[in-house]
Amino acid sequence: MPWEDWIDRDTIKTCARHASGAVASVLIFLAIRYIVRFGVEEGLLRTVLETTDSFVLIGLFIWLPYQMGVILWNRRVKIEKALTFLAV
Amino acid sequence: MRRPLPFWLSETAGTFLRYLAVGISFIPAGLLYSVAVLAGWDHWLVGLVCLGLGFATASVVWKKGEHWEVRIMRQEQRTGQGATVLLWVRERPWVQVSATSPGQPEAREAVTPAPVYKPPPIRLYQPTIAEHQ
Repeated sequence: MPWEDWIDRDTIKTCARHASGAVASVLIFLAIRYIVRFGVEEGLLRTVLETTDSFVLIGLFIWLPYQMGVILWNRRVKIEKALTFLAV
Repeated sequence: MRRPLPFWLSETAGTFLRYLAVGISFIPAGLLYSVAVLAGWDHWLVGLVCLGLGFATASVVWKKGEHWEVRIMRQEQRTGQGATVLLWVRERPWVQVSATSPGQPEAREAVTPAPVYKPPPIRLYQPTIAEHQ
């Protein structure tokens, strides 16, 4: 069996799609953070905005690997089912 | 004429939209946490509870995003080229954003409509010569 058969292109595509989507949204929230840092005067509003933005970024950084894991797990189950069907 | 762009582009745009919605869904929990920090309750347990709340909201939003579909179409007209982004929710078009480039000047002139003759307004009351006198 050639080694190319071991590469699951669909999984790689799905992972790349999710990673690019997540990176784009993270970049948007990072941009908001920098706008707040340099555009808003130091005070209550800036503290609230910065804390909220950090919270959102932490949430997104945890959500991406979690979602990736869920997708890969579901895919593994699907592939296993297909292999069992082929074996039968 | 509308032609669909590569499928992966629409797929990536849809996934990006879902992640953006997830990010926005963390905002209420983040606001709650920032209020707690300002009130002096900056304990790690408070942060954990707020994160849990954010995850609950995010999972609801993520599930709703399963019905979202982004279709990016390329428009080729005589006036120029453009792109249309359509957001479909539950197999129905919801939002449409279009952008077109100006194109070549001769092409623009070719499709410029001819000036339309506009008739004068109809007057129901016509003054007679006798009235003028």
